[in-house]
Amino acid sequence: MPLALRIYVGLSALFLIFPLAIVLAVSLDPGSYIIFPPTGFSPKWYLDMWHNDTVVRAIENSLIVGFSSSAIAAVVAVPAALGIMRREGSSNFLYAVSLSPFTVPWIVYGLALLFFWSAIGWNLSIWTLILGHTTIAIPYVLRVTVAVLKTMPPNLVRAARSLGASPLQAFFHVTLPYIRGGVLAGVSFAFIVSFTNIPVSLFVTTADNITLPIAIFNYMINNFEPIVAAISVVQVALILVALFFARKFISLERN
Amino acid sequence: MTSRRDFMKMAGYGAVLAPWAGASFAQGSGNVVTVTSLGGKWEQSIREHFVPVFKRKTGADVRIVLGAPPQWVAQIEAQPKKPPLDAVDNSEGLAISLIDKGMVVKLTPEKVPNLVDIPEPCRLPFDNYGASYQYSTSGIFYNSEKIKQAPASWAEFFERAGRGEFGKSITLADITYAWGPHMLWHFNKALGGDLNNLDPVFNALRKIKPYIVKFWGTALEVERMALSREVSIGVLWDGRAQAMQDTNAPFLRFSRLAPDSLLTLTPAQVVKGGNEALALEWVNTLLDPVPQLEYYKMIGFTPTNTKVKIPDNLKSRLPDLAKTATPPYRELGAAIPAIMERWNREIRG
Amino acid sequence: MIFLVLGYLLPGAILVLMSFGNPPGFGLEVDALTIAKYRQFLTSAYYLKTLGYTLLMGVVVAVLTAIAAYPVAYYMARSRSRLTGLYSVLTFTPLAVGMNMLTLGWMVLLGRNGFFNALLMNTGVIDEPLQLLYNWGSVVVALVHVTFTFMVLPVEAVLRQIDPSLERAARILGANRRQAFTLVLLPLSMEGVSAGFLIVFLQTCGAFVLPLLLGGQGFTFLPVSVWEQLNVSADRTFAAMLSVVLIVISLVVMVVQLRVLKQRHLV
Repeated sequence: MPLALRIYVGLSALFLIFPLAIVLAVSLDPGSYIIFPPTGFSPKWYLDMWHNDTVVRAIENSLIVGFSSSAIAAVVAVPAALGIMRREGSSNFLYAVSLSPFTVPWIVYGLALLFFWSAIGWNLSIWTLILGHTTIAIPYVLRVTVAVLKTMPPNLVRAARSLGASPLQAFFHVTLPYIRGGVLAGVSFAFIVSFTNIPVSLFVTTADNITLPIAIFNYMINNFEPIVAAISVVQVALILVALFFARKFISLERN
Repeated sequence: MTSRRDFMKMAGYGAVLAPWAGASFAQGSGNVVTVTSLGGKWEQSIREHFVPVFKRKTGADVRIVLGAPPQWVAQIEAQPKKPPLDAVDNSEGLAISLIDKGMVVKLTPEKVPNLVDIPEPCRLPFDNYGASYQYSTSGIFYNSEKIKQAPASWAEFFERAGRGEFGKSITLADITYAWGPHMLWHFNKALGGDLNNLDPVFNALRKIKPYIVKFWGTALEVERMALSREVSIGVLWDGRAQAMQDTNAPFLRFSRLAPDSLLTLTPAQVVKGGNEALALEWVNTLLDPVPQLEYYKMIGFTPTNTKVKIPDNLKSRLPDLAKTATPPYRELGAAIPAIMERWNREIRG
Repeated sequence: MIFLVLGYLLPGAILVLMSFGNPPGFGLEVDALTIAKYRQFLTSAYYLKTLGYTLLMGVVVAVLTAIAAYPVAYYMARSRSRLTGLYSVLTFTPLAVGMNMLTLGWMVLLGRNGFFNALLMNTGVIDEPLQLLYNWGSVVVALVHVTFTFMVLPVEAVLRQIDPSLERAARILGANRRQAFTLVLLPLSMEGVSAGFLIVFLQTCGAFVLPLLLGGQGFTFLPVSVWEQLNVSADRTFAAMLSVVLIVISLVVMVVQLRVLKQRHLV
């Protein structure tokens, strides 16, 4: 690996995490306004925040919604990707349709979601939220899976079939391991898009299904206080931990 | 080898079934009222000051939906037969739109006894279909280290700013701020215009534009800019400016300019078709002087009930209701699209 | 495959949703359909300019992100260091931090009293602080920052699948390092780049929080206009119309991109 490349990667890592560093610094400030450089150093907000019912409930909800929607999206998108590949490549109409959630601005989708649920008479609940998140998550998983599937030599599956494997076995033992990395990338996107999403959740939020970014958002638009920074850091930590474990799980599998 | 997919499937089903199971417990009982609140300190105040008073009186539970008026009103309009909210702390324009759509209940002194102690400017614009429990007035905040002689009137402010006296360090509300158009209306009035003639304010804005660092879209932005000294003068609400001054920025000052300040209200409304009895009692609690005083001490926005005993040391901060102005909400609402067009053409481009 | 059907049902639900969002009105009954709002849009120089800026921004951000992220993806795919796992999780941090906090970070870095200005002024390079915030540049940088991971991961996933011996073979046959890269590796990885490009482009065109918070006065983007209409004008019909325009354009771009790539593969 050329040195220049390694330096570049290091710099880009710094670039990526600098806001987190700043937020972290601010969250440890016991003062009552967000100001940088911070005026002091204390973990006060991290302790206070667990007393806030809304925050705790929001964390639970976000985890539930994030995992559910990305899992369901994967379950739906991976077979869809296979189906699309089967129909000679990616320029068919159905592919475009299934990617269409990409093109809808989230804020409009969120509002339309509200009216949709009222039209079919369902009460707003965490379930209505999960469905919305799943729909916007599917294209991420789909697009990346298709990209990886395209690079797969078609002979692999044919070889397995000619050796006597059934289509299902061929899928599980040949295709799936090959696309595993791509699927994981897609699912990670789905999780993070759901966990941090505000516009889609915004209009269907009720007293019970509030998610963490919405709680932070509501806090933030009226209170410019370090506790918001602390909650944001917790949000980041949760996401990173979830992703880290997902990756670990995959590489264990690979070996 | 296959377990990853299975794991995902299991996790998915498990996660999906769990809230389903939980949800079955949550379904409404009669003795609950669903109300709204802004997040953060506001929610804290609602929970600590108002809910206990309400509970003591009615024994009912309170569910709080966080968010903001556009989201709440959208939810009410989406489900008119079975509204998901019983009472809503609305913004002025949206309150009017709910009134005009016949979706809210009129408040009367029989059902809401505290109504009589609420001054008229805080409920008459809504014909008593909503009553505000707090109000706030506009003014300028400025960095007293940089600006020694603050303007005394709006006309003076625009004139000096337009000349470049303060340099490029001004911030005003953007048209996308929920009260942006209201502030615009107010500036226009102070500069001698009215809704049919917006030239005074647009001329002033064009002159001041090169000295604007950024038009702020949320109160958060302007507070950030003020505290980090990115700007040295701008327009903001009294409660927020004073809170900044108190906690972290003694260099900031706030003052209300002549001839008057813009008044902003938070009309609390009762939604038709919801749990109206409890909602009316909730609104009554919001207008109760005892929790209102606590609210004022925590948040800093002026409470409306005339019976509230403001501590002496804070009395000087109170605005004079006679020196405030409220826009004609319906006409302003109708004029907003045209105002936005004009803003986009003359100020944005 | 039963799941395939499911896959088409959910997006189908969106299309139904959109029909509620379509002009002229919200509400369950569609009143008289008019194209008045569309006419308003097409004859307005301001909105057409907004549309142009939006698409341009999408392309610029996608291109910059592709260039910036490719080397990182390459490193992650090829390196045997243990840190790559950590790094890939790290790429998510900008997204995970949340828009408002990110803005705080950019203010600290680019603000008038911020890091860069302080550095430049202390070393005497400039006398007056530069206006680094609240303009095109800050929005572009912030968007690249936030979409970085969407480019890195697909490219990495695809690069991993490319057999390293292909490069080696090219080198043996006489190509130098650069040629091995541009003639062998790059074309093969295009599929990953295009996946990333599409995601980044569409996200950028649909972004409204960052442009709202970090943008300046001279320009605006279509999603921000949608937000304005919803928040201030309460003109839902207009907002819906703007969204439909955005959707249609994005769909067109998407289909074009997929078509172009198909042809590339045949060659």
